[in-house]
Amino acid sequence: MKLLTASILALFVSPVMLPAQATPEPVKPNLAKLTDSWPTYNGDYSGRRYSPLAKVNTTTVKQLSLAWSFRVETTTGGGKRISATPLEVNGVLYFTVPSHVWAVDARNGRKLWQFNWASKGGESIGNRGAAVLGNTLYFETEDCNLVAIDITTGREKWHASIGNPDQFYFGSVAPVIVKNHVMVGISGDDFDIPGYIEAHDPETGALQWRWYSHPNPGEPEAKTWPNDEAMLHGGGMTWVAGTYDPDLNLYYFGTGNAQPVINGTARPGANLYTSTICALNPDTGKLVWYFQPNPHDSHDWDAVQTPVLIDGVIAGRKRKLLAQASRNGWYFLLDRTDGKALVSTPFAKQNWTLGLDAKGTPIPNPAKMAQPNGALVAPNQSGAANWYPPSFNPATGLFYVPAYDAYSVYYIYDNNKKPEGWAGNDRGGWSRASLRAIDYKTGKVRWNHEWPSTGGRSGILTTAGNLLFTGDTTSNLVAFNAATGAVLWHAGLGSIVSNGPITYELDGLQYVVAAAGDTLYGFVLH
Amino acid sequence: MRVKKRFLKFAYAASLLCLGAASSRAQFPQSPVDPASAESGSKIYAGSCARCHGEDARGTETAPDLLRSLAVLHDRREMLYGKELAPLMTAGPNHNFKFSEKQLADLSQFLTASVNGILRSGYNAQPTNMLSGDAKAGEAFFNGAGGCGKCHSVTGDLAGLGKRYAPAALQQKFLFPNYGLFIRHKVQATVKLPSGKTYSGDLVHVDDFTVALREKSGEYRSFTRIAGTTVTTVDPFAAHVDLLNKYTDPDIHNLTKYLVTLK
Repeated sequence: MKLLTASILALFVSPVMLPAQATPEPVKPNLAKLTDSWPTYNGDYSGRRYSPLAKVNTTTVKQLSLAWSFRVETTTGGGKRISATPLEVNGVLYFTVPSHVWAVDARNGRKLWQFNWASKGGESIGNRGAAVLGNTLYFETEDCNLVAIDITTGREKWHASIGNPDQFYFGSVAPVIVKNHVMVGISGDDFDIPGYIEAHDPETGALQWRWYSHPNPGEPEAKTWPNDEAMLHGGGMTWVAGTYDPDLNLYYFGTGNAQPVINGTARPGANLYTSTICALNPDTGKLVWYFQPNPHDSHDWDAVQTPVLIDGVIAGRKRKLLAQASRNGWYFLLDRTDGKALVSTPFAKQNWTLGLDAKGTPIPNPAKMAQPNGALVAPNQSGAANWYPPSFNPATGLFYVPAYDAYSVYYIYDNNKKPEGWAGNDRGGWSRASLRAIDYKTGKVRWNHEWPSTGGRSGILTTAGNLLFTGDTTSNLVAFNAATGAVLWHAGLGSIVSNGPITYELDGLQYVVAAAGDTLYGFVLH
Repeated sequence: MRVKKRFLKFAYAASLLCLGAASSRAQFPQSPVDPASAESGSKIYAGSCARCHGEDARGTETAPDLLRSLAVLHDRREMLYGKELAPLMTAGPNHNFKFSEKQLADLSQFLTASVNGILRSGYNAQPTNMLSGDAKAGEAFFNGAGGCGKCHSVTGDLAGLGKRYAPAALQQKFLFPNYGLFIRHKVQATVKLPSGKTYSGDLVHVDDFTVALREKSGEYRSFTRIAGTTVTTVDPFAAHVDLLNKYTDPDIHNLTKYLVTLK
């Protein structure tokens, strides 16, 4: 009866109704301690997706049970798949699909409000989530706007343009708050346009700076392009939210593939700063260092996979490190103070390199670039890794990645002396899907769980309960022993886990939340 | 038999089409083009624009790339049919074109088609230079290092192969026979229960927790993978998968050329 009354009341109260316990205080998420909140795309700034919560652990995980589910029924342009990592702030979950945002009670999955952006059209492949600062939520729309929403009312405060959709730019990236900057990435690799990162004022939306993922004409790195025309149309989208080291005041992110995508014959050179890990000063937008995992890409292998920040010990010395399992099949461990590579080693099947240069950068084999009559290449276009969030667990010292060993054939379709856009593609394929645990210090595989069939990929969460949560290739959310790789628990969700799972504790209960297709599922340990 | 072969050919083509459809969603909004209008536009372009902007509209030293023109891209996305291009046609450098509304629309459609053609799903998505290999070397690989002759016969199951598939499809077929929506030979699964009883058939589904198969009789069976249950699978195309680690690219090109000769 109580439930019924509440439901009826909900019908008559506007969708901006607050949760019973609400009037949220302006929040500045405690980024160091992920217990009662998950306040950023990666939980904290490090990109580890590691939670110190341990009530759910290798012993208790078997009692983890479904608490609630929430299904998305509104969409534009077909994008109903929840690939967003939800934020959890003050007991409320915030998540997105293209052009829509929801605030949902983190205890019971009840909708508090829904925000619908009237999109003027753009690519609706996915939206990775939102950022929250104080009482404001920020997210990107598919038609290239950064929208600020009041988190108590669900109403728009302002919006600001972040790109020109005429040029096939679109918004999909979860913004990241760094001090008084809303850091914004941009998507779109159908067309020959340069990528960039922008910082916006969190109060007004005003543009603070824009950094393009190419050198300025005349700079030494510009010599990695044949001419300025190619460089200024050279791609390098910033598809995935970055990580941040407050002590060094550096914002880290990877850039996308070079353009034109498959036929790279008219852009000889390394094509900086495409497929590159970059460190920017977030106050100035100036590049501090870069390392290029994938020079002169011609396989659609971006290097946007989360650059995970690890404080580790190498050869007895404390080091500030950055690790990436890159789409091209290579694992890189860098010193994040200066970008110098300490480890460059394959973590999946790859056949496209001639070795490494003195900086630890793979040297591409020209014979394995796309050819008019085909070149058999590993990995395939989807990559050994992709955008799906990896995880690092400091207790096990393992870096976890959804890894694919795969082949396909790359063809050049357009042999125009000035190829544009894609000008080719890969076709067909064979792949084997695994969850792979890598020793962060060496890149060596410690354990590998090969899924019994190929299929989709999911993001990864690890916890102090020695657990790893991820989706399998079909439709199960699975919990592993993070140290050994033993399977401990699963729940069939009817669709592939489509985001990175999160965890938080409220009222002494630990929750685990994951999305599968159009539905968000909340599990709890009683 | 003929019907079956035709169906398979259709099925494979359909599977490729489906893949194409998935990637074409990458250009939303689609800005579809009327082919007749674009064709008329291409003639106007060839007569009035190509001399400076290039036959492919990608620019020359004297005039800019029109595929990268913001005005053209705006016209395309908003489907303005040349309305906002009109002032540029009269006032642009060395421009003094007075096109009719219809001519502007045709030109707009030609440029829209030209932009659409370079996107992820552009062109006809067909490789064009598939016969660069050496048929003799391909034959040697077939009978030697490739080990193809152990399972296949060029006068038996592969007779007339070159007539059944276009070269690009044929190359994909021998590289990745288990790829696409219509698979002829399913993975074979055998499930042995703790009781010792075994079931075999076409694999329908397998994950770490359950397995399902369809027996020869057509009966569907699924099993929970409880302790003591063993699942073994046999991929009928395992020999093709093994070859992926062995092929050189010339092997692939040579084999393609050889198999195309099997008329």
